[in-house]
Amino acid sequence: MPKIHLGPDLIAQELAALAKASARNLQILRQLENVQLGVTPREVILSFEGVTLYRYKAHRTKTKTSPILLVYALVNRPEMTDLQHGRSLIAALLDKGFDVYLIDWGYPGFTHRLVGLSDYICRYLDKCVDHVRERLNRERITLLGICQGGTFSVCYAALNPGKVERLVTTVTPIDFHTQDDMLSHLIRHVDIDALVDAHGNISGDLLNGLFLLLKPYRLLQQKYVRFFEQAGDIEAAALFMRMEKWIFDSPMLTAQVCREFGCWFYQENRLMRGELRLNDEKVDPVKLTMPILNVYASNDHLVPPASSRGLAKLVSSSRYNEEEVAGGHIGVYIGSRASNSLPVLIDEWVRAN
Amino acid sequence: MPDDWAAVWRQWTQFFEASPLSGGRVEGWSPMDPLTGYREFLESLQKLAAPASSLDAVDRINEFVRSLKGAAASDWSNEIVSVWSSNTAKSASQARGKINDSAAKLESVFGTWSSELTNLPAIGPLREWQQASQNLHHALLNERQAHLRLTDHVEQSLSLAQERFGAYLRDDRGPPITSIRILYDDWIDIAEDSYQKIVMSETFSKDFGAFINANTRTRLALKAIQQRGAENTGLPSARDFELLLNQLNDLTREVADLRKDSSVSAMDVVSGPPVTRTTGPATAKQSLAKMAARQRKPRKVAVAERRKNGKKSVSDHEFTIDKILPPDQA
Repeated sequence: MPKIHLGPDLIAQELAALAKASARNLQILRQLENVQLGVTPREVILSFEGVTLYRYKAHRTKTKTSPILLVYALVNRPEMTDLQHGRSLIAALLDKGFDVYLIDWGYPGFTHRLVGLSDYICRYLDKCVDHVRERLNRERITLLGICQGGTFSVCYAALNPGKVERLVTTVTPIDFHTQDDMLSHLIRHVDIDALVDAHGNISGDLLNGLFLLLKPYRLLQQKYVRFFEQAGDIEAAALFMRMEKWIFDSPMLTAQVCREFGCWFYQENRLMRGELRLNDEKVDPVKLTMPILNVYASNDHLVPPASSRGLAKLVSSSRYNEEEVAGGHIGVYIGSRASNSLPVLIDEWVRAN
Repeated sequence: MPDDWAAVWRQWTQFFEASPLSGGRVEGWSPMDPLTGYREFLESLQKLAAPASSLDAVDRINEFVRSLKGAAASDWSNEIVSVWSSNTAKSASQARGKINDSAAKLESVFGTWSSELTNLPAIGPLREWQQASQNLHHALLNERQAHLRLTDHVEQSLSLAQERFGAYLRDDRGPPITSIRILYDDWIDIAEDSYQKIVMSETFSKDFGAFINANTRTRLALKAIQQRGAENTGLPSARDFELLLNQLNDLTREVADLRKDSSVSAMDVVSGPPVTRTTGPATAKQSLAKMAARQRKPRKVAVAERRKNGKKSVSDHEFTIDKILPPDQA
């Protein structure tokens, strides 16, 4: 029995339907060129050196006792956490009664070339944490790290255990030398020092190119075919457009961060080997004694689950929990079922810890 | 598979290529284009069916497809695989062609002068220029070689994908393929998987690194020439900007330290000596004050150490700093 059951008439019908749907979806996209990202009202409570600290306005009058500070990655923008109604991690956390803060690292420019990991983690993040602590007159707060922001949060918590009440890491790379880490595999033989000397800051376009190389067929072809074949749904088109805007609005990485994160983490795996030093101080994972929730995505092609799960080998906290969430690297936050998984998980864990 | 049927199939793959679905040309593409393509497709079918005047076009095609399925299913699958992947294979060979073209152009631009310049030792008043140009020339040639090696990997992954897709189509097991959309998704799965297999090899990792490093050396060689040009024309060079940035960075950090010190000192005055907590958690201010008391060195000692290390005192910069940096940059 042949596998292909296709006749020219069926092919013609299918292609005609696709052509019609494509035309319709193109028309819809033209109406959505100015679609906005970010839906939850917020206020700036601190701004310095291009970094902005936001507080999101609570839906309820009464919030939980512990504030939660979101630490986003340097690649891409934090708007992904508040993409649109119904797909907003921030709105879902507010609904659960959290007092939510977020650090926006901004868009580094030419003058930020020498700003490195010590600046981001020991100065900027520390300043934001202190600001929230002082504002609320609290000794410790909860950190929620996202992707690379999770790695930063782990380092920060190890350096400042007295300021971190709980640590939540989501899709966070910890062990950069796992077998299935394609990104790490790709840059293993790159001379990062020379690259940074030649380029200076690394542009968002270059970074995006590297990420697209991980799954070129799906990310450059299939994604668009899937969008164009759908039945002209304006809501789906708006989500697609927001995602396109978000994913290609990539700030550059400062030269120093690229050098340090690329060499120390991706090539030398210093955090995992207990050899990382920031600001002349050892990042000692033994000091991670606070309750920790480590969430990873089952189909993450950027940060494989094994990389995130490396955290279990580092920490000494007896209150360490790991949770797998179905989905990919981004789907964990904005997938159709995301609002019923990650925020619920965090809320239940915080209640128990 | 007869040529005319293959032509119809190719026409449609070309139609795909010309549509925004392929991620290609978008500007100027209008909803009429697919309709035009569809009409042309139907006309092709009519043309194909013309010799059998007693049957209508669709019957003729169906009969043809049935005979293909029955008599030579493997050929049919192979042809689909071949046509399906021809566009991607074509892209790879086009990329290779472009690299070779650009290399040929490069050779024609530099011409004889280039090869002589490369082979001659760099001496004389223009030695530095000659050396820099030689470096750039070598870097470009190396980059081309590295790019070709990478292109080989891409072609290898496409060949593997075609081979696996063909085998998959010839395999009777599994659900039948009843739409072109399913066929496309199956192709993507297999192509992506084949790509991953090649990319995750140690050879690819080394060749990818070699290509990026070769490209980096080209940029560095270009920068060296730009540097020399800037120096000769009195323009600020990249190196000058680096120096300025270094100074600005040092100043920013020193101002940040000073401001932190002074704010903690102010807290000390307000809150007095560290408080021993009896009930409730320590406040952030108390923690900061304790930390500062532990870490802060006496001012005079810090300045003396700085001078001993040959560094300028912070106070030497203070007037300038206040002029340069807004208060929120500390």
